[in-house]
Amino acid sequence: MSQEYIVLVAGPMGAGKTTAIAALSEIPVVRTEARNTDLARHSKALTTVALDYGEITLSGHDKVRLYGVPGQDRFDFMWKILERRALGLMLLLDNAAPDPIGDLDRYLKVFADLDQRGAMVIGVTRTDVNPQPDTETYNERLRESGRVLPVFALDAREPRQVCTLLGTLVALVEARATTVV
Amino acid sequence: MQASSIDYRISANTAADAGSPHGIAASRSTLRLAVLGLSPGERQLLRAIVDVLDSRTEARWELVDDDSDCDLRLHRPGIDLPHAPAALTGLVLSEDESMPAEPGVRLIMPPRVMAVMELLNDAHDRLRQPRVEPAVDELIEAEADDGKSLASALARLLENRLEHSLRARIVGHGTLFLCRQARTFCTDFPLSQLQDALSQHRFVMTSIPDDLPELRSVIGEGRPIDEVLWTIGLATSWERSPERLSQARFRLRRWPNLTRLSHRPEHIQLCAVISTRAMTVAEIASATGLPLSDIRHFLHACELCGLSEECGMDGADLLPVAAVPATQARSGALGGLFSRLRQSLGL
Repeated sequence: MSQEYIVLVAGPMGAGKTTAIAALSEIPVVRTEARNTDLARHSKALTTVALDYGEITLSGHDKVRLYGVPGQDRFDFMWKILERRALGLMLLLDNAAPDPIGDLDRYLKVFADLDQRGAMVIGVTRTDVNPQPDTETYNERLRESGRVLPVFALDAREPRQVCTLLGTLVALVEARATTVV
Repeated sequence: MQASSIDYRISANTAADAGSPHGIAASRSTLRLAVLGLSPGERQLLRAIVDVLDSRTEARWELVDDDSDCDLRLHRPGIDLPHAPAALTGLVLSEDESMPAEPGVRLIMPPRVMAVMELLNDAHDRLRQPRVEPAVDELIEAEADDGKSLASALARLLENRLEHSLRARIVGHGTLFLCRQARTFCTDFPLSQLQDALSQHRFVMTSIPDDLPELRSVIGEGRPIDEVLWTIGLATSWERSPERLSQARFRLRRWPNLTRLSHRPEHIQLCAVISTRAMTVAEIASATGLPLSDIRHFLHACELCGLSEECGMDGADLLPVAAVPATQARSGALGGLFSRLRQSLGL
């Protein structure tokens, strides 16, 4: 019987979640966008209001299902529903946002269970627009919280980079699984 | 980055010569000078000057028409250069032209005898040993045939926690600056040549002060030092005894930025396993199935970049072992997911 592996893609609005899924998915990404009514938070015209969905087929007809969850806080009930079945989380953070380190703290807290049970990787987008904070600042904050998680500068439009992020998530899940006694 | 006018080679033909005014009596090099973009009149004048200077310069210079194998090539700014490498390059400038900010060899036209002599002696110094800056703390030279690459020499220095900045002039490439304090590096040659440059055996490496003008003029355009340290670490062996290496346990303190560093998928796996707990080389090999030599190179790269830390055999795990994953995350249930994902994504 074929298996499915669910990977969540989360992060604040405008961090590049939809773009990242499109870079990975072998099918056209199913999008649920609506006009952005929260222009104070991000100036983009459209934003995801339900789920973005993409998939990758593995050998044996197994599938990796990629779910992009809406970045706005009012949809956070969906995060919890999906988290229960997920293998891990790709967290995308917008380095040009007002407080990306604060965003990191918030998502670490929200997805603490998934990080413990599966794994979490972090892609920091728009570092070309805003080089600071640098990845070392993110690493430092993770160290303070007792975590060593991958933090990569990420251009969500670059499939190679997004593949590296996803591959890292899966490698981390496997490594953690094999070290469990 | 703008190409510098300097690169370096330790090579010269030698010819016996007595009576050098600079005290280099036993033997003198014959060096080949090529100058591109001169008018016939300028060329004739320069040839006459070089001939006059024959016994007065530290090395004997020969003005050659064929620039395919020369020690010093001078050219007008903006001219298309041939692909043939020169040991050292410099600019031909007119008196009324503004001097470029970066240092280098300059021939000012029209040429004057003393200026040409200074230029040729300066070039000879650069070719032989570029100790032109003050406060040099340490000089490390590697001969062409000593079997040691630039990467190895750098690795040895960096393993010893050298805090100075370094400049390496590399044959056929140019200059590499490493600034540990600013955690940046830069080159005056294309980055695509970096790997090849690091494998070169013919170079001169100098420890330089951080406030050296030559360094300060280029370091603003520097790139993260991890990019070059990672490459050096993967390319070189760790200079420590196998016993000591086998007894240590390693764990990851910080992940390398793998979207910026060139890597193989195996490196992702290696990072993942030592991010979960401290492991010996043998344990890492067992967990990943990778050859010991690959693991040593990887650990060397992590060490140089400051990504890993070493624990004794009693080293505590970095992270508390995660709660048993409910369903999917068990190794067996994953069924080599990473490998299969690699296949699907072409990683």
